[in-house]
Amino acid sequence: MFLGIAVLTIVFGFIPLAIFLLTRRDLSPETFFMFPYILLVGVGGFFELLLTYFLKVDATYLFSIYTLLELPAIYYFFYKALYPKLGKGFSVIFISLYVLIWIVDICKFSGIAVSQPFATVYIILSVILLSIMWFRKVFIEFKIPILWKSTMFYFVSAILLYYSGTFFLFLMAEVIIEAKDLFILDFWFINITLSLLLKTILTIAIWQGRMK
Amino acid sequence: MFFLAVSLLFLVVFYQNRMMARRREEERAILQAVLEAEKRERIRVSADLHDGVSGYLNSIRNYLSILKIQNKNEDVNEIVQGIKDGVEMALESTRNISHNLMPAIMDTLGGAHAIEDYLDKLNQNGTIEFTFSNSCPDLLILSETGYEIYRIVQETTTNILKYSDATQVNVILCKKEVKENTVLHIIISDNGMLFNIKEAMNAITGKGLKNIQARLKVLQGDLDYEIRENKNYVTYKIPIYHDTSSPGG
Repeated sequence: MFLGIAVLTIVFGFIPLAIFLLTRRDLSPETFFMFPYILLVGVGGFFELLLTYFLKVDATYLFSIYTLLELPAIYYFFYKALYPKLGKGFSVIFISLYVLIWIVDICKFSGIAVSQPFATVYIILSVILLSIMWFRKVFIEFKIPILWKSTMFYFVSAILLYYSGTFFLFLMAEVIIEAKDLFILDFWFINITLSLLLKTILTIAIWQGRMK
Repeated sequence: MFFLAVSLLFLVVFYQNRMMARRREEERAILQAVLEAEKRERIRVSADLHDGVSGYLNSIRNYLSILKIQNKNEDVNEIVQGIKDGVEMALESTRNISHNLMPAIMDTLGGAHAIEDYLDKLNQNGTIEFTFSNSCPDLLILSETGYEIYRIVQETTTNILKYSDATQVNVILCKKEVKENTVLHIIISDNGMLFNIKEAMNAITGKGLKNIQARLKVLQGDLDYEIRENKNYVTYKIPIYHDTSSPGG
């Protein structure tokens, strides 16, 4: 049953990408801001399914690379959505710092691991900070006529809910994995639920991005 | 996370409320600009009629008077007199149009006096008896507000004249204090055909009612309608912002 849910969650990741690719001609320009992240979720899900379900091999490398690409994909959205607030120089420093932290994570934990706690914290704090900046911009400009019909609002809500929800989960990932009898399934179930929520809201975001 | 989800919902509701308020304010500002432009245009046309057309007509009348004095031919003088009568009528008509477009009394004595003057003229011309009473002559009103109030009264009484078959119309101005704010009440009652102006306004088709609604919106005013003793009672409630620089009521 758990395997079924896990596969379902991974498959769910393809839906936003599929809708994006099928309706790309009808999508509003701001929907394209989220394409790198949608692509990462979709392609990441594909490889996860391939490696863990079909080939039954260790996907730790995949998770590490996924984490490395996660922030740039999210940052691309905010860079475009908050333009010209986030300058090029700042963006380069911001991403470089993240890559550095990711490398430190890899070195500190003696090679590739399931989670990179420092990088994860960096992502979560970035998501919170950039989301606040986005909401502030929205409330200052008042350019979006109906917020709950805005594709960007759904995207920001999706990542904000997901990363806030998984904050402690990822921080404790190593401990949870090492202590195998410590309600690992419960933690895993929370992760799966949040992941499903993320992918569902992302699907809504793409759907709302269609220009009527 | 639940708290965050609730916060996001709250943000959406808050945003939409503020957006609605902004839109209402923008609509009001646009309406105000349109009405002000209309007022400016009325003033311009009124001045052009008064200073331009009336001036030319006066000069024609004078020439005709001279011609009549100098000419001894009775037949010709009869024709000249006919032309002179026509010019007199044109002059009178121009004066009336100019006055209706922008009563001069509005700037000197204020909206209430302009309303009184307007109702006096209606009394002289028609079969309907108009009465006017002002229980707040000391109330100071911004000249813009006074102008809009005058137009509202004018529009309402025009409708009564056209459609109601009334014989008696009363216009009353009085003020009420509501939560430290002064609200001017303009009560217009008539004994004509019963007509719920409030309901009609919700399904507006006529230009007159549309104009009243637009002016009320700009003034942030309200409208009440009731039937008492088989009479229509329309009450316009206009919040008044005091301005000592302009003549009252």
